[in-house]
This record gives sequence, structure tokens and C-alpha cells, in this order.
Amino acid sequence: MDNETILQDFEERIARGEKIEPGDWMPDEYRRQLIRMISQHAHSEIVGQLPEGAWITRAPSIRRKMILLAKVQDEAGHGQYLYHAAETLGATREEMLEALLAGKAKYSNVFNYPTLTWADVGVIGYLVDFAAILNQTMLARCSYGPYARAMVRICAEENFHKKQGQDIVIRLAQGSPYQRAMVQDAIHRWWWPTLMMFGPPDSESPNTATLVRWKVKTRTNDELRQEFIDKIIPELLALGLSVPDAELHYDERLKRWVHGPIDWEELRQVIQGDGPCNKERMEARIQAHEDGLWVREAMIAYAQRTQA
Amino acid sequence: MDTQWPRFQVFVQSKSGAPYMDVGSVHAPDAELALLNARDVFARRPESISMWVVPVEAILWKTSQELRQDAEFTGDAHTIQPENTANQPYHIFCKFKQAGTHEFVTTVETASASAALRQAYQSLLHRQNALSWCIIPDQAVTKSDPNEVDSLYAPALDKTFRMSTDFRTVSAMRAIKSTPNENE
Repeated sequence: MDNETILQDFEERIARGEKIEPGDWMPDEYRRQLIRMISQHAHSEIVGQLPEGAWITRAPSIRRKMILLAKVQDEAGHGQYLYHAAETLGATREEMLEALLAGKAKYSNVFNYPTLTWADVGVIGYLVDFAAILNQTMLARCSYGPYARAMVRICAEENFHKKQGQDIVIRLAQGSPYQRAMVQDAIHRWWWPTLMMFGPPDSESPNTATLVRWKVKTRTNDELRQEFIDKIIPELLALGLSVPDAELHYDERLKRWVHGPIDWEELRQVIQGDGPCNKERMEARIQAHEDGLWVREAMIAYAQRTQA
Repeated sequence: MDTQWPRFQVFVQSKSGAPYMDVGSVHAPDAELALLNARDVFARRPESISMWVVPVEAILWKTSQELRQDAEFTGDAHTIQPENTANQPYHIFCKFKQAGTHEFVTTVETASASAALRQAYQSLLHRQNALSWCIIPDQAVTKSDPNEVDSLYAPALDKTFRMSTDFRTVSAMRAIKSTPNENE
């Protein structure tokens, strides 16, 4: 078969809803885009442990502490599922970790903002993890088998993350005036970064058309962002909470919520490494890697001794 | 230079009688530590009673597309050279559903992984439904110790707060929406 026939065969498989497995023929660009997306996704899970991890020692009760520990441990596990999926495409764990620690890898904008109060833990679960679920539910239908399988596992666990966050937000929203003010402040600070998390608008997203044709993604950034707003706004309003968007309104004709302009320059800066906490996150990640050295050395020593 | 630890594929049995399923892989300096890593990565919830880890380089993977392009499987006449090694057990895993994963199907005794694949392919009733194959020599498998089931997997049982069902947010939101908002 010549190249054109092979490509046509590949695209027909995708169109029929077939999943591509590691040994199957795939275009170099499909492989390249998947490694890019999956490794960035994996890095996001790993860095995503840090903002909430900061609250494990300060959780308000032993139950909340255990829940938060379990959630942060899940994020570490999600990173592992995803690094595995990228490895099936030929990327190595080592080069991905090096890229992250060297500050060369991109990861989600949203983890570069500070977690100032306990309410942030609730709002991250409720808003950020819900946004992630919408994106990941789409990716669970992705045409690449190992990525789709990792996403199915992740989505099941993310539901716990979202609900534990929503549970915190509901409690605070029904609590004392101080608690209400605290959760309102957290929502104001996380609202725009969460909307940006879905990525640049479709008009500025050069990869989208190809990714949709190959069913790596099946929906666009703007479509997912819209679904998020339409689902979360009625809930926030019911809780007596507001979002910091004076232009937000419900369009009766379009039957959807319409948001005001998003500061895409802020997203660009945060992704390029110039957000409020990028430096702190990278330092914490490198520190954790260095602090774990003795554990890795002990495991190697143990393995060598038991093999001898 | 590749300094990373070996990669081990992980297969999980979720309950007694269920087939082992391919769930992904972990890195570790040896198989024993791979099992511990695999527990932390793939069994934080009650979803495993037994695990296998297998060094990835010991596994033969073939997709149905690869098999179609392989003359040995598509040709009528097979000229299989007798192999001068003793037979040993190979575990055959197949993926049958597009969105599925590789699950244990059978064990055959042959002289090589490719002979095991050929034998399984020729004898498996629903082979045309197999989308992808995974062949594992039994001697490469490290299994979790049945005596350690409790210490490995029971700790996940009582952590019900890891399950989304532990949070009644849906009914809480319904109750809130059905009462007028007193803060307005």
C-alpha cells in the first residue's frame, strides 16, 4: 500500500469508531499530537497535587484531611496512568520527567494560582475538577486506545474529586457570614482561570480541526467551556454565589449563558511560565524529586540485594 | 542515556473468577517493588484481589492489523519450523471490544510466544472478534502472594470516602434549589 492508501485506511478506521492500538499504523502527526497532549496532561496531574497539597496539614478535620490526602494521591496516580499512555507511543518516562523538571514542559494554567484559604480546596474540586471531567469525558472517547482507557479510570475517580469539593462549597455557602465570604472570594479568584483551562478560543486553536477529524478530541474548547458555564452557573446562583463577570447573562434565544471577554493574554503568560505561582510550583516539584532520591536509591539497593 | 527503571505491565483481577485485565504499566527496579507500585497506582479503591506484573519486553503484542499483514497468519500453507526448545505455558490476552482492554482468554503450552499466538489464533472460537493480542510467558509473570491479599488490598475497603457515592451533593443541591434563596 502506498502512503496515501494507508492514511485513507487509517482515517476510515477512525470514522468507523475503531480504536487505534500501539502496534497499528498511525500518521506521525497523530503520534506527535498525542504525545504532546498526553504528556502535558500527565504533567498537569503531577503539578496539580501542589496547590491542594498545601492544605493537607491545615485541613479543618481529620475526615477532611483523609479525603484531601486521598484526592491528592489520586492525582499522582492519574499522572502515572497518563505517563504510561504516552510511553505506549514511544515517549520515555525519563524524557518527560526531565522536560517537566527543566521547566520546558507545559501544563495546565490553572495550577499556577495560589490556594489562599480552605475554601480554595472546595472550589478547586467543584469548579476545576468539574471542568476537567468535561474535558476528560470527551477524551475517554478518544480514538487512541491506551489514552481512552486511562481517561475512563480517571473520570471515575474525578467524580469523587468534584463531589468532595462541591460538598465543601455547599457547607461554606450555608455557613456563617465569614464562611460565605470566604467561599465567595475563592470563586471570584478561580472563575476566570477555570474558564481559561479549556484552552484558547476555537478561532485561535490551530490544532483543533485535525484533532477532531482524527477523534483525538471530539469537541472543541469553546463547546466544552459553554457546557461548563451552562451547568455550573445555575448551581452557583442557587447557592447564593456569584461569578466576577458583569456581562454574564442568559440568552433566551440561544438558550445558553453568555460570558464576558476572557483575558487571553493572561492565559498566554501563565502557560509561558509567567503566572503567579509558576516559579513556586517548579521549585516545589524539583524539591520533591530531590527529596525522593534516597527512596529511589533504597529501592535500587533492595532490588540489587535480593537479586544477588 | 536511558537510566529509567524497567517498565512492568500490570494485570488486575477484580474479583474471584473474573479474568485478569491489562490496566497499564509501572516502573520499578524489580518485580517485587513493581507489585507494590502497581497496588498504589491501580488499587487505591477496592478493585483488585490479585495482580500480575510482567516486564514489558517479555510480552508479545500484536494487533489484528499487524496479523493481517503477517503472511504466516494470512497465508494458507504454514511452514512452521520445529523449535528446539521445550514447551512452556503462555497466557493469551485479547481485546474484543473497541473501547475495551486486553483480558485473559486462555493458556497454551508451546515453544515460543509466536507459536503460542499462532496456536491460540487457530483454536480460538471468536478469533475474528479479537482486535489485539497480548502473549505472556508464564515464567515472566510475578504474581501477588495470595497470603498477602489482606495487607495489599484490604486497606482500600474501609476508605469509603474515596467513592463519589459517599457525598450526597446531588440531593443537597436538589433541596437547595427547591427552597427559596433566603440570602437574596
